[in-house]
Amino acid sequence: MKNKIVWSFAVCAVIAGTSIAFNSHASLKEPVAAVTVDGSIMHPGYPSQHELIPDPNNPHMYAPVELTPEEIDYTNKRMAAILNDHGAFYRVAEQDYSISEDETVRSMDEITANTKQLVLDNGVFVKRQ
Amino acid sequence: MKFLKPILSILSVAVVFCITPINSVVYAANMTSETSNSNFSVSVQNDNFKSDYFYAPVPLTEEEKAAALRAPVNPFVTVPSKSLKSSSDILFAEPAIYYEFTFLGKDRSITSIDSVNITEKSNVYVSLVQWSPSSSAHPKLTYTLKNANTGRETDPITVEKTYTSENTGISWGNVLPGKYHLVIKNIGNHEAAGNGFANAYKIN
Repeated sequence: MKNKIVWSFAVCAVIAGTSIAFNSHASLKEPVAAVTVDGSIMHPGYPSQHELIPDPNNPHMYAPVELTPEEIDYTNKRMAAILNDHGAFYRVAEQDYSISEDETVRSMDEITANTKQLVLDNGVFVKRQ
Repeated sequence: MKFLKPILSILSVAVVFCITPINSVVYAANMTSETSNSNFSVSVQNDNFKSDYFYAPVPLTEEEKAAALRAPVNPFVTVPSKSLKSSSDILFAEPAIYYEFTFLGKDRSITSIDSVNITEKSNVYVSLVQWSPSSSAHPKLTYTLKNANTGRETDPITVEKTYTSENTGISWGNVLPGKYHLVIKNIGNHEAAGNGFANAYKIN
């Protein structure tokens, strides 16, 4: 009887220890991203004159700055990917004509679950699963 | 053999215990209680209110009440994970960048005070939640990494969706060594709020 108890405790201790050790390293896993783009491609950034000043209301961020229409346009033209309700769409160099017109939209307002390609003023984006 | 039965019973209990994950990573990013509101400038005396931890209550405007009702109760960021890695694969044990903001106006940009400093090519991951505090519409925010020294930026990723009860993740692969701030631009038509964190991971 004594042996039974000792063995039981020993087995439990080994398994529980392994479990705790395994789970305690969960934070070291690389997270899964819904969208991943190439970060080695860098561009100069819009040559704005925004001065970054601390925000007294937010210790985590500099105070908001106003974007000019040119900056917004610049950002839109650099956009590498769009994540929305219908999936992740990645910028491509040109329209993919193998994707049917039914699955192609030319405005974000027209997008549906069936959409596979966005042909927008700021570029072409194709859905990736 | 006489020990087999009790050991098997204990083993099955232990296996159930083993496969129940201890919550992997939860970085509470609840901003609703901490973020100050710039409109809170008028203080009123309330005879019944007593607290050593808070300033006296202030009246809320109708807009603030409506926004509070629309805002999610307790948005927080959790991290899904892809594959088990050794401890040497992560560059920082804690998130390198933590951020939160609210009522970010249309056509406004904000930059994180924290930065992620990487010494070798890495994957940089941002885990985020976002919503519109003053509208039921989806916020439309772009996220970019900006090199603190050169001013060069990664290509932006746009997230045009509300994430509150669960977070989403975006990442840039093969980011060159350097010190990077996170830049968030509101290019939608509504005010935006959000929070999250960023970290870097070694490339396998």
